[in-house]
Amino acid sequence: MMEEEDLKEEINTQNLALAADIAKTLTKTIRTFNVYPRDNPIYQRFANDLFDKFNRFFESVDELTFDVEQHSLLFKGTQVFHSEERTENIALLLFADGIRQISFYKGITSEEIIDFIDILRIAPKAEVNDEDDIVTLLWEKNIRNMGYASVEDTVDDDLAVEAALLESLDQERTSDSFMDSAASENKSSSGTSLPASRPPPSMEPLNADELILLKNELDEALDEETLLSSAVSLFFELLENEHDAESFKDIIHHLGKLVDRKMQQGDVTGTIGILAGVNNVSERYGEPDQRAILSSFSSGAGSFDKLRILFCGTYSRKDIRDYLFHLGESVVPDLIQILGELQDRKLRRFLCDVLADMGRKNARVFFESLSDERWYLVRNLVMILGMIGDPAIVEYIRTVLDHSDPRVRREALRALEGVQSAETKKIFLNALSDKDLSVRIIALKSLKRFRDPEIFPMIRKAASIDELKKKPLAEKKEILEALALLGGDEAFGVLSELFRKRGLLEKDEITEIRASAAYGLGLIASPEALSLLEKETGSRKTVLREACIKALKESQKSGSAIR
Amino acid sequence: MEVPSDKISSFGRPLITDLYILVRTTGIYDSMNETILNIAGRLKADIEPLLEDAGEVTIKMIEGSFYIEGVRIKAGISEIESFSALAAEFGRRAVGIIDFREPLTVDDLVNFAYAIKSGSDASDIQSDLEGRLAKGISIGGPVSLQREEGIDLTDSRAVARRAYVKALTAFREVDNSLKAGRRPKLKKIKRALQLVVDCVLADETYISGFVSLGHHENYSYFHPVNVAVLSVLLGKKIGFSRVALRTLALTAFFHDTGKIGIPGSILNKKEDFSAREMELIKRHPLEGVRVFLKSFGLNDTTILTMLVSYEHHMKRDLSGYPDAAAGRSPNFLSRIVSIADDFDSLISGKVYERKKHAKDEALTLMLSESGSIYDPLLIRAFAGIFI
Repeated sequence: MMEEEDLKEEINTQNLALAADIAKTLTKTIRTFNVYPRDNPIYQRFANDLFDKFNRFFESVDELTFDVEQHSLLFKGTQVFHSEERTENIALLLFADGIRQISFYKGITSEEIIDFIDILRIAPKAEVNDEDDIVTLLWEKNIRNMGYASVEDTVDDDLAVEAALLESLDQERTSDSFMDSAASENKSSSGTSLPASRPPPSMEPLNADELILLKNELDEALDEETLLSSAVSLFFELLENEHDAESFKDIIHHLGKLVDRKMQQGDVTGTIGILAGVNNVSERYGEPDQRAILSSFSSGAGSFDKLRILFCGTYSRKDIRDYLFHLGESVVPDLIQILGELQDRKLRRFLCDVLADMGRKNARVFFESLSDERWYLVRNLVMILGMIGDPAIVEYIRTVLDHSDPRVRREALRALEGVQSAETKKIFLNALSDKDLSVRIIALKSLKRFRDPEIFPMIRKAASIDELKKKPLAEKKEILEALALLGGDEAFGVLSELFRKRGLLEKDEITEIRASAAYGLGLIASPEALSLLEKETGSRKTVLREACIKALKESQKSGSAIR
Repeated sequence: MEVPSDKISSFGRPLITDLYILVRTTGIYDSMNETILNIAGRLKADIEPLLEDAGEVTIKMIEGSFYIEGVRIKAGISEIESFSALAAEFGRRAVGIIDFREPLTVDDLVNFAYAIKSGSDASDIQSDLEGRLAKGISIGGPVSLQREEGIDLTDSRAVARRAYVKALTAFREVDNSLKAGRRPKLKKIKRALQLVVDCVLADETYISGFVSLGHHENYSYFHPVNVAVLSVLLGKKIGFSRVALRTLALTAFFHDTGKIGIPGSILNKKEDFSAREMELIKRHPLEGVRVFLKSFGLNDTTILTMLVSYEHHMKRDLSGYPDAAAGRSPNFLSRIVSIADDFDSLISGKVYERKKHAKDEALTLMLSESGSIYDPLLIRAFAGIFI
């Protein structure tokens, strides 16, 4: 009783209060560090505050040791912290990993305190992986101004190891060091003994240069990039001879993990190497199960997140293209989503090029997305289909011909320009009645390219005076140019008549029709047509005059009349 | 036959929880109450799978923690309260050990719970149990923990022995887990090997002494630990950092994991292997990788461990196995472990006519292969350990 009282007396009241404060603040700091990033002022404030408290404590003593109980921390036998909380409770965290005593020494730095708190934060997560706990992490960090005492998970190791084995350890000459016993054997054994006086040349100690060589080898062996490359090589080496389905699956699964690691590091080139390797291997593994495993690998490597990383702007176009081509068509749907998100116009255009190449054999992969609500995405997809240019695209593009946005309809007609068929001809002809001028103009331009006389009568209908009056100048011009290109002699008749047209009313409209006819005559470029144009090069009507001059110039450039 | 540790871990938690519920419930109901009988039945079902293996199961309560057959049963968050309360109850009654034996009956368990509740100490409770003819259970008094604090840390030999034994224990757990198809807990192995590294760094004399015994009997049991110790000794010699030494120790510890599926009758065979057996043995590097692929995640340590497992018989001139493409170079750690592995095999009499070689003989043999089988700098550094 007296001893206890003496002990209590010894405890410095001030240090007890400080120790209690430190214990409480440690728990609060874990909580704070879990919430705020390191550069946040609140994080900094807590770190500084805790550091100050340790410094105040170490003004009078050199060591702060807490005994750890399940829910409490004790300082010199007195409970200074108690909490029954199950998370972020420093006592419980330490106790659960077997730590029974923890010490901090004078000289501890703020960095060391932060390291310790970080370990307390990481350990519960590491616990999930069964790979680390507070003891292994503290050991690894080796915080200079800290110490700890822990218990292990087994009660008495004698129980765990067969008694006979332990006996052998205890009975034999364990007091002899390895070196001593080797040396003694040197003396006693014959024939193979090593010279006692001087070691043979091959046993010369390593010199400083040789040690540096080994140190460099170690650094290389532990280098993360080297390790990942070694793992990749190892896995492909294993795949060369792997016939076991389960192991095949495990290897491919781990190759998928390596892809994750490499992508996290931004090593797209390395990832491409893995994808290429798996593609090569896949040719040899054709069983349905193996195909399914390989397909799941591709899904992982082509996950939406990874594809997104590819388009963050850091990687070369070549790398991105290679990466995507190793993954194949299965990633097209996700790429379409990314296409819908990309802001960078040039990158979007690049992705369209890539997608066109990827979808060349199966344009249908774009079909579903043509109903997307985003007009700009649909426009891009239509453009991609146009790049593919296969007759099969007509079927898909047909679904957007009546899209509400004229930009999509316009792109649809452009996409069909490369496919000349009765079907597309019909589509262009129908588009002549589109409510949007630009769409109609593209339709006319496309029809011109057909050079199909059958189209002439249909265009002729739109070339009546009354119809032309309703159209804007640009459209008039396109209609009459189309007539010129498709109608030959018959067209000259129509155009010359329109060119000569005079009227008292609607003078401007008539002039526009005449100017448009001038362009058509320029395309015909027959002596008669040119003669007509010559006559009006001095016209007082600017639109007509300029049209004639331009048409004549164009006819000279092209050199010959349309026949 | 002993109970596998992973089985103990999985059955241990509900067992301790139900034991607590039973003891607590005795304060509410009488011994014939259906609730009591149901709980006792549940507890019996918790214990029986463990009894199946060994016929007897020992629970110890030491300093507030419960251990079944030496394996600490860690309370999950939801079990902390019941574990603590039961530990407090045992503490009050000065009970440290409970032995369950076959045939264990529900009545035994009910009698035990009431005896605990009414007894003043272990012998009192034991007498009460005997009086009630509960033959499936016996009780012992408080147990003190043999652990770090129990060791004089200035006693280098005791510290070395503890480290060596911890590593052996860790190997047993790995062996059990892998054989049961379960993933071993790396953190436990790391903790054991940390002790080995600390020991080598502080004073390698004694721990190297344990290795030098050259265990022929139970070779597969000691060998992984010996190779780990020898590798760490070499790593220290060439200036590895503390953490790098632990990594090296881990890779060395697991180097023969692929032998897990090879029958002991082959591994411990004193005569030469048949061609078929040799083929099986030669597959162990590959099998080791397979085990790792199945059991562990992918991080720097596991990658190194797989490499070492695969390459530790791949000699410098690639004359070993598995077959390797020309120009391939085994990882640096594989070359270290290869030396440690061969050396322990030589001194344990597992290779070269199964003769237990003296250390100097083993070294001389190995030095003669410098440059062809072994890395010349590493084998010289290794020899330097003994100078």
